[in-house]
Amino acid sequence: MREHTSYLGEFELMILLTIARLGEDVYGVPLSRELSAIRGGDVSVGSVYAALDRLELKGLIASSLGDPSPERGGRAKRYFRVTEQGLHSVRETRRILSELWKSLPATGGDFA
Amino acid sequence: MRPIRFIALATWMVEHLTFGPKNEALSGDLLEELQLGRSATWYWRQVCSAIAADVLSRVREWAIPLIFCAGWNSLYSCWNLLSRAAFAHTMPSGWTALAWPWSALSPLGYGIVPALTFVWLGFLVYVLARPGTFHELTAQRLLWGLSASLNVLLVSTILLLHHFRQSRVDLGSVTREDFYSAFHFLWISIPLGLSLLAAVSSTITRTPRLMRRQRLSRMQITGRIQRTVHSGPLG
Repeated sequence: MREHTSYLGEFELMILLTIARLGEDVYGVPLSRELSAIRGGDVSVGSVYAALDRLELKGLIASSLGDPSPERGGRAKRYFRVTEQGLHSVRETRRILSELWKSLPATGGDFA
Repeated sequence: MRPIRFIALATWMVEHLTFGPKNEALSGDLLEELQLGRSATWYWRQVCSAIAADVLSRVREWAIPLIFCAGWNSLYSCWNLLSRAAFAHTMPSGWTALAWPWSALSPLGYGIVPALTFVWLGFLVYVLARPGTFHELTAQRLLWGLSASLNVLLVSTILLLHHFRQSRVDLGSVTREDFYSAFHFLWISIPLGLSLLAAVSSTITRTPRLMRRQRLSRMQITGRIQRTVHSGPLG
């Protein structure tokens, strides 16, 4: 049976890589801050959550609820981690993009 | 001093106008950022952006099923031409001679059976054509889709007939040929479209989302109990 591949969008790929980069106990606040720092601009937390929702539906990330805390108005944190399928998808995307980058003619710039 | 009421309104909006299972975590993150020194304007901007992102996500989720249903519906006239002879032969002629309500089976059969076959065929085509849908479809969801489409078709057809009666259309004088007219096709496309959409919506990856929602709602109950203990100034 042919394996069904989920292709990643640019933002989804960035989120997956950021979760992998931050390691354990990643939730919305550090994830959005890290993304903002890397991209050099404010990132909408809502769009991050929309992408996280899509990624979780595809099985590329998993989440779990933490404990409620007072600074969050008693609301629980949701922690995210990249699944094996997510890592596979990231590697597959990297392989495809690398192939495509190689085929780009090097005119007036360094594409390596 | 921060406009606490406006922030409470924004928090309510993000928790009730976004439909994902993570809306409580999202509002918690926004409140945490607010506590860390973000402005109320930033907070409102984030809330509006979260609601817009959620709406866009739902639109994207439903766009393909809606387009498919509209496209498939437009084929009904062709389907009817192909199938009318076959269905006419399969209907027992003696049914019309029966007393009410059994006599109603004949016109219902002429209308519902080809329509239901068309809807279920459309459902099958959708399931087979969408990558990944077939593998995710369980027997339970398939049965749910088929029964939902049947129920929606029956209810919307009855409502449509009721509408005709209200509009003083004499249904007793509607012949079988009238039933297959373009005017009827236009009206029939409403229950057909709704029925197919009901079937197709069962294939949208809602089950894990609903399961997570149910799981989350159980956790939210626990969270609310704990919140009474932990509740801070923004709770």
